[in-house]
Amino acid sequence: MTDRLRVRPLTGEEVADIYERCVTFLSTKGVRVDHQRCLEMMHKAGAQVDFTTNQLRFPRDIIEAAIRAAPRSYIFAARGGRPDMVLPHPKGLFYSRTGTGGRSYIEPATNTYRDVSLADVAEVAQLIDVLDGLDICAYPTPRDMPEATADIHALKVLFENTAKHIMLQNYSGESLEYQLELAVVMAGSKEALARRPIVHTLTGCLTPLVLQDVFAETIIKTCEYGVPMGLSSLPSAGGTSPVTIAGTVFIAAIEILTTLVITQLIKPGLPVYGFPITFAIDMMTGRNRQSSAESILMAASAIQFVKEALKLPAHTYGFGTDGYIPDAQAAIEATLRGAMISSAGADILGGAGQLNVATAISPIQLVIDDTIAPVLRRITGGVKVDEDTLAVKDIWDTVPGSHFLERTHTLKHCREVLRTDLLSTQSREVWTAEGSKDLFTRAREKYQELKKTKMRPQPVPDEVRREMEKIVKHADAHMVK
Amino acid sequence: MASYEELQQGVITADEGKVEDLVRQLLAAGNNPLDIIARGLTAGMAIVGQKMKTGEMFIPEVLASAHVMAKGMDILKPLVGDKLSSIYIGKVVFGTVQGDIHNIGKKIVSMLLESGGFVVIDIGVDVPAAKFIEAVKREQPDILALSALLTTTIPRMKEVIQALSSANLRDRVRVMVGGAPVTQSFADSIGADGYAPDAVLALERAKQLLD
Repeated sequence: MTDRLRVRPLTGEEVADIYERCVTFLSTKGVRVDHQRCLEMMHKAGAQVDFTTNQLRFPRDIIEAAIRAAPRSYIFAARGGRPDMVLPHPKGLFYSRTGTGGRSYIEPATNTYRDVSLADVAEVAQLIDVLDGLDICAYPTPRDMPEATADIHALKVLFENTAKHIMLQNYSGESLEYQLELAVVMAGSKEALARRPIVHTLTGCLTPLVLQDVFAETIIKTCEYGVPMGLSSLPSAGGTSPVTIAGTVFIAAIEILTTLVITQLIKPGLPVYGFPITFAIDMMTGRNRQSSAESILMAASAIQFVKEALKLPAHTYGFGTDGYIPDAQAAIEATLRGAMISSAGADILGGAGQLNVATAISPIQLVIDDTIAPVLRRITGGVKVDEDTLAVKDIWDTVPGSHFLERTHTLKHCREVLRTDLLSTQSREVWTAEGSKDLFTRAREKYQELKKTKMRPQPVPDEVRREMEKIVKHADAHMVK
Repeated sequence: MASYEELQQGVITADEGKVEDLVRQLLAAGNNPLDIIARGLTAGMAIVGQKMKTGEMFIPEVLASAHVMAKGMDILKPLVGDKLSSIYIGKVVFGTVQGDIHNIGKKIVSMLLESGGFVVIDIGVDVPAAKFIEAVKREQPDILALSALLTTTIPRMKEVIQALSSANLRDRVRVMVGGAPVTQSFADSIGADGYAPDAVLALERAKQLLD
């Protein structure tokens, strides 16, 4: 029996080799940290800091202690009676996460682009809330809000419109403070938030090899609140990282290991995961691509590295396309990427609903990705082989030439067969009689139906709502110039 | 006997040794340095530009050609003196707007602009509006190019354009904007003169803006 279908792009020796090279790099060359307080904290914790060049180095023992200190398993909590998500997934499967940071909203009726509004953020959150294939909610960037506080407004609206766990992407250290205060209000207290984290944060490096101010701030604040954190690296092969697959994986590995060590030095035991988000530059146009063959293979390899060398849960895009509208390219790229990334062992498949290299969000694509997710889960779940699933007795009892439809064994297991409501399974005659609708039309209709019948705001107690409004108002007053 | 065609080929194939040799041979044979630049080096680079547009050459290959052309120029520059400016088709001041420290997009576009015959003054990342204004006054470029990668920093582009207007410089320079979150409609909405969705088209658009 396989727990899970696995694709391992790298051999065990290659993973070990990359890890050794990371340790050598971090102990001899290191990375630049543009944050004085963080450097001082690292110096105090035993790291080697060159305060003239801001270069930070870690000896091997500190690196290995940090890897041991990071928890192997922890939870993401949701609200509204939804079960906690245990990472890694107890069945060896994955959780899905929706697209973050997009500035464009793709109109469901016309496939045209326009700026994301705060009302769109609410609508997308309500849609995500009712799509069972999607587990973790993130937000696009509302353009009708002040830029300095757009992420704070977006989070408040998310709390008001979905009970699902939320991934924060803060645009500044200051805005993260406000976002975490919103989460505290929602969770009841700072302790309750740390115990059952309804949000988690993201940090990362400015690739190549710089920990910039906002990411250092994010680490320090997240450690203070004790919520889980994703450790991202966003290399762009041929641009900010080597053009080769291995070279880009190496850069991502160094950067993720860097933030892993920093977090565990500041707060040993803080739940973290590795988040390699690999892009590849198109060598003809210079455009970034998230779902080229190379970017998919880089991500799969980096996921394997995070899981096997760092022993952390891992997250990367498992959806998303370089195309512009929900079309065949979007479906091909999201599915190829999802199949490869889920098989590589990722615990979270991100980027559902995102198009145009993670710059746009589409409700239609969310509906389609919600359909792909359970198919991927079913496939990567692997095969169970035992006396019962082999149907040994039934096969022995079978009269040659008969059938299995009436067997008790079939009745017992028939609900295990995955059905999706969006993919065609009826006869062509029925399909024709129903108007010969393609996948995109069916997805659009499903979205419209959900909007009419199921999508609605979350119940939020008045005092919580008032408290959140106060926080957002304070943020606007202090951060918007 | 060295020929301009051979020199062009040297630029196209990014053969540094060959280009330096040919430049020296052409000089020794009594050719005018400005001719060697125009009919050899930049003519070769023009072919490279064409090949980039049609997808025959990739960006790293174009940059290698530009690098080799610059090596040839290094030999010729001291010999042409103040006539050098005549070989550039335009001047660009380029920076990433305030709050944004992304360099790579600007770098790629800068290198392609240089390869296309522009002289580019790179004023760095996280550049406040006042510094753009200073640079425009000092350098008097044909084009001011603004880059941003973050969704939160592209509004800074509008502030730079407003600052140009306040300083009565707006009609003295064309403004180009670009970066992942930038769109044509955004460029139009802030009153920019040019936008391109990728680096190759940025060079084309920059050339159009000179007309």
